[in-house]
Amino acid sequence: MILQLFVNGLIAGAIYALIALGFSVIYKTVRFFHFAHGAVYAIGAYAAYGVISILPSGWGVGGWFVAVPAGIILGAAAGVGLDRGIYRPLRDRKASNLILLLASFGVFIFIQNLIALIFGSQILTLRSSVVREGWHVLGAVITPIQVLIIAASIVTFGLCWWIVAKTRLGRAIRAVADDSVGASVCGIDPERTIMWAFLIGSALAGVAGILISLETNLEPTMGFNAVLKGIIASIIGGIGSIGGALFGGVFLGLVENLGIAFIPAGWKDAIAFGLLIIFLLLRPQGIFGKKK
Amino acid sequence: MNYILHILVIAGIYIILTLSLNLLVGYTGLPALGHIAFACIGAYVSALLALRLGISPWLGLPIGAVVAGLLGLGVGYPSLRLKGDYLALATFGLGLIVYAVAKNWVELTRGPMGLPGIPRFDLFGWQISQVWAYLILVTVFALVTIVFIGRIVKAPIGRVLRAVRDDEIAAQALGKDTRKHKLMAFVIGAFFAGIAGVLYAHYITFIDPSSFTVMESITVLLMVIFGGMASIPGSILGAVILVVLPEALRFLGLPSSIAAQVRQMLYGALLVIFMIWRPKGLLGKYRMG
Amino acid sequence: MKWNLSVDLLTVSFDGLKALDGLSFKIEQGKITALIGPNGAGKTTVFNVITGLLKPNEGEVYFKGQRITNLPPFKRARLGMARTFQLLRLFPQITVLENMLLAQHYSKGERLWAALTRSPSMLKEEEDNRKKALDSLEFVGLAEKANVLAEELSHGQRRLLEIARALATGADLLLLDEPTAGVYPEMRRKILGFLEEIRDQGRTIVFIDHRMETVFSIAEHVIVLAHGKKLAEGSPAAVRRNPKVKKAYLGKNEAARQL
Repeated sequence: MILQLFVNGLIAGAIYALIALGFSVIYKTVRFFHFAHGAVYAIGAYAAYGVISILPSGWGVGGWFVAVPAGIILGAAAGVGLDRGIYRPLRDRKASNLILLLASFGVFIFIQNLIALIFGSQILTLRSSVVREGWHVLGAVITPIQVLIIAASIVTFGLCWWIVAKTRLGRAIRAVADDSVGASVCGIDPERTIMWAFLIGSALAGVAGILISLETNLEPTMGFNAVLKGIIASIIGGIGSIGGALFGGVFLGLVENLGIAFIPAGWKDAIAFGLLIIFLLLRPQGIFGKKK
Repeated sequence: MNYILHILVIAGIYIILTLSLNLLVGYTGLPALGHIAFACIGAYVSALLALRLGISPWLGLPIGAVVAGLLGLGVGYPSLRLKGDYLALATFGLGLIVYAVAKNWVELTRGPMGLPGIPRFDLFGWQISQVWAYLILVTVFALVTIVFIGRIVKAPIGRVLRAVRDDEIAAQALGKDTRKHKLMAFVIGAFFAGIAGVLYAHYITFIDPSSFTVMESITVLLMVIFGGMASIPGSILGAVILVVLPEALRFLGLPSSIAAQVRQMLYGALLVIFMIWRPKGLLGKYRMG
Repeated sequence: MKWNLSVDLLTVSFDGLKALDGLSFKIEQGKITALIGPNGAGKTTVFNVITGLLKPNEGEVYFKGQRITNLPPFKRARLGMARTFQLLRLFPQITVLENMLLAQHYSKGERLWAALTRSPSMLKEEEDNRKKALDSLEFVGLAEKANVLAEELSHGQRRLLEIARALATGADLLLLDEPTAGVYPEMRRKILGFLEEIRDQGRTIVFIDHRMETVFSIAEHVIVLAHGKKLAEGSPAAVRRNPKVKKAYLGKNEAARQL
């Protein structure tokens, strides 16, 4: 039983880590809470759903090869579009972090309800028609989709780590994260770097949205909980830290799911919110973050 | 006609909410993002006292407001260490915790099933159930709120709140106990939000957690921003416009299934527009940041 | 000689770097003391420790005979210490007069009950404070700007307002961080004149400045800091002749020319 909860925790943790990763990459460059990340997450999922439902059923599995990239690309485009259209004008005006957060909230609410308007508020599914039974491992069950989620997360994290640590773009991101004026003096274009960060981060959100839709359902409000958990995971791990996103996500997933062994399941979210408050009060820089 | 009176009652309740939040956000510079939680507390405390212990709403009101005020003290403590967007996140989280408690502590609150049959206010045995009568009640409380908060902000103590908002370090250098003032703002803001919650509960006679969600907090915040930060007429304007506007939409013939979405899209859009174009709001006297 | 303020063996470290290193000095009451030193010497850090914005790793601060090392900033202000900031900390979105009124230590108006009841005594006190504030503004020549938002003042006027506000707190000790930075010469002379008048009223002034002429024109006592330590102390003339001081600022020749 505990093992099953542990497995569930890992799955949830993988998703949280992906959301936190995208969020952190973006945060590194713009240093405010981009709450609309949750809307991008939902856009990724719904875009994939939209493509699948438009394609004639003859496409079968091939449809996924169109839908998934479509979802990711649309998610990435949405994220970049948001930055260009809304955050950048505010940045130019030297708007405070609070103003950016509130604007981000407004965008999120707008998009979430737009999705509801277009697709309806009912629950949709993105599952393939064949429901496969899971594998039994030491008394716990894990389904192929769940294995896919973990595998995709590991691959994505590795890819992201490679980009940030080993490429020129990654160096630019880290430079802008550290000191954007200093970076521009070194010939790095902060705005282009920010754009790339939004592209990568939003693509990650799209990936997370699609993965979770394969496992559970789509509904217009899916982005809210997702971005909230992503933010909490980032705060726990250390906002702006790649490793922190991984740690925070997995930690949150595990604590939530193991926690409901002791308290009723409805309180799962309350555990996450409680962790948020505790960390904000006692260690706002997170486990791996640096004190400002 | 009754419909119009009903809208006015709701507007009155929102005026109290908006003024209480403006004290926090506009005058003291504390970005409280989970404000509806205080109304939730007030509503549930008074409703439960009436339903379980038969306590009159006239007593339930001050008790609910005081309990809300105490929660305000609790929420205020993080404000002593956190600023700006971090404080916003913390207050947001605390608001979510209150919602989660309302939804999950089923033995006390009946969770999502809510509390039906909440008794109304009564005046010497006569129940205040007619809308026009309730409007009078709400108007009285709205006026009390306007005078109370108006006096605070116009007095020297209001000046100190604005100093805390504009530059806490400079305020301390002038000998002001900024911690005390921040907590005070939270307690008073929470207290009045609690009053609004109680008025709501004994009017609709049914409450459930869905009346006190994040969207509600954002709606009140939008009213503050829209009407004007640190402006009492602004808060009244903001509350009235944002209560009337969605109703007006309904007259445009939108089916109710999409009216809710359109209303929220409008709120989201307004929030973005105001952040970009006029963060201090229509009648506001304070620019954030 | 009466001592108003003294600091004893103050040490402040940031990530291993010592901003202040065993610093001690006493400030004599009723005199104008200048705190000088090259950039990074720790002058503003000392002010931050004295006013309570920064906790020292070691050492003590005493004010009016009382150990204040652990007092929060607002309590130190209430003991009679006022401070201005290098980068000006006025309240930009309220008026000049309101900035001044905030300096008063209210007993009544800042209490919640008084605000709600609008008692006659509170209203009278507000009236009196308003008069006092306008008088102070008159003293520095800002009376016509009383109802202007602080952010609309020119830089020189803002410096004046900051000093007027510090004065209005009734403080006996004024700690002024670069009170004439960025102002044109005419305004500088005006401000320095005000400082001498304030001293003549019996108050104590410690000011940080990096312009030698300013320092030597009004300072009665000079303390020189470098690398968080006290390099020299004494009358302006003595400090000016001190070879260590000359060397600390620039090369020997350059400093000699400056001084």
